[in-house]
Amino acid sequence: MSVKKRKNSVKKENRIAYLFVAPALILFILFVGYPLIASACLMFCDYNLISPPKFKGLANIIKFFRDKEVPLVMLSSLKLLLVLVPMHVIFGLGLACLVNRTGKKMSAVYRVIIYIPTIMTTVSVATAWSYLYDTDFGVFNYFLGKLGIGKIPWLNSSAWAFWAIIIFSLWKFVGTPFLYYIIGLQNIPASFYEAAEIDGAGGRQKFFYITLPMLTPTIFMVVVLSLISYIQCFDEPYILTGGGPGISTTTVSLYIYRNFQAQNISYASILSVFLFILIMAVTIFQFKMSDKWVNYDTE
Amino acid sequence: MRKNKFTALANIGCVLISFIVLLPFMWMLATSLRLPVDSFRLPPSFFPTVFHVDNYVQVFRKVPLLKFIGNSFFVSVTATLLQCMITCMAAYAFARLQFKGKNIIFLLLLSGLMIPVQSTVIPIFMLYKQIGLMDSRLGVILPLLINPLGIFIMKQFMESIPGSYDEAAKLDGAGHFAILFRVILPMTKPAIVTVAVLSFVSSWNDFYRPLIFITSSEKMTLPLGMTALSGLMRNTSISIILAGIIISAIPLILIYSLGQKYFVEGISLSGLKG
Repeated sequence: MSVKKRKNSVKKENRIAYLFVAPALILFILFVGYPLIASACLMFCDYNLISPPKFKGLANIIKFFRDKEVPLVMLSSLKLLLVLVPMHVIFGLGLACLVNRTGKKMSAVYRVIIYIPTIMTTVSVATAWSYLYDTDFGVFNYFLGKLGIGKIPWLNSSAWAFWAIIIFSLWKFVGTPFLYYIIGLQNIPASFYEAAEIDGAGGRQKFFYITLPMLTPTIFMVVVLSLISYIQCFDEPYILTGGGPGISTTTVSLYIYRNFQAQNISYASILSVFLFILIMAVTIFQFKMSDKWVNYDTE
Repeated sequence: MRKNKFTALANIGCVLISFIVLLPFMWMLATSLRLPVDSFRLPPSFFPTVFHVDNYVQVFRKVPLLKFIGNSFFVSVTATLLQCMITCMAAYAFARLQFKGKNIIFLLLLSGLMIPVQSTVIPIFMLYKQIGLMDSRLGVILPLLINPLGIFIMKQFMESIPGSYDEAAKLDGAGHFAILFRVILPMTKPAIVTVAVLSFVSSWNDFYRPLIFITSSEKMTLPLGMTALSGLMRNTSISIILAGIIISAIPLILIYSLGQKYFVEGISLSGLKG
């Protein structure tokens, strides 16, 4: 091929490649990139959906730092994260290890069952669960009563409402990390275990010296993805507790929605930009820390 | 011998866990068939003892459920088909073609994973008000068409296909469109099914954006319709609400059971393992 011809074919490949990427990129710019920048601009304005945005300078930012509810809302989001993420990492792994031990045929059945709640509409099943949690007529309190435990105000006390959300979320979403772990486990070569057995390694040793190190990339992914999704936690508190009692279970996302509803659009914008910065910071921190414990050397 | 005992124990544990996972569904089904006056009565039932099917009929009377189902199907099917097309084309370019700015564009699209719905919904809302897309199903579909995780899964999967297939097709005079649709796509079935199922499920369950964009009950999708139904019936009959929830879950279960065979393979081969 002559130089000119090759240059032409490179140009042609460039053109086709841009054509292929264009739909995704255009949609990304319209529905992700532009709105994010617009949100960032809106926070310097005053906007109430009716009259056009007016420049307001730092007023919203000052309001943000003075808002006494912001630390509370952040705290409830943080509390959810601190309990839910480790729970998903550990329960997902425990379930996957257990299911992996049950033989090929049965494990396929368990896999399907454990993943079913994950595909369900969160809003719908949360509505059903709000009846399970009912103080007087709920199934939970009925069985706890049988065990001689008094009625628990699941959704009406701030301490219990938190755990009600945790238990529901675990049931609803443990399927995702579980599935990733199942795949991770399948990708560990059987020869590793055979070699360890010849050396006389027991079950516990095999788990801590083979399974766990080999799974660190999966664990890393589970941590990153579940952090990103739980920081945005909205559906569960919206349906189960409405963010209450008081604002005890109001997450950042729910707080943004409340401000949006109250037509505090520009204030909702600064909160949403804050949420984005939070997610980005956490994710970048995760990646920076990852080379300290994630083992990509699979050979 | 010891191994068999372990397998048996693991099976017992898994049966127990499966039972716990399924218990809320069993309660939902049994309660949805109770007489509305009995719906709050204790003890709870987990196996249907009465079959008051009328609850399922009532759902359709209380809310325009057929409309909701129709809207949800329209939104989810359209979003899934378009999203798969867009995702496959982008993934092909990233996996097979060389072009300027490839890595930057890829990272940019992937960064979409980190951007919360809440940060984008307000400007989209303002945009829709101006161009008249408020309270329309198209307005719900458009933001669903971007799927960064899907592009990542497809790209990784395509990279695992040997390049010799493309070369052979190129020698036969095939262009990139033909290579993508005739050669690569048939070989990426597990990945496509995985992306399609995930995108159908997330479109079907999309709640936050419709909550803000949709205002008339004519255009509501099922999750919105379900909250409307439960607001309507909250203190009268949970049996009817639960019947509605069960009806709205049927398409999800169908799609999942059709696709689940490819699920593990699709995610596994795409290198999401790490």
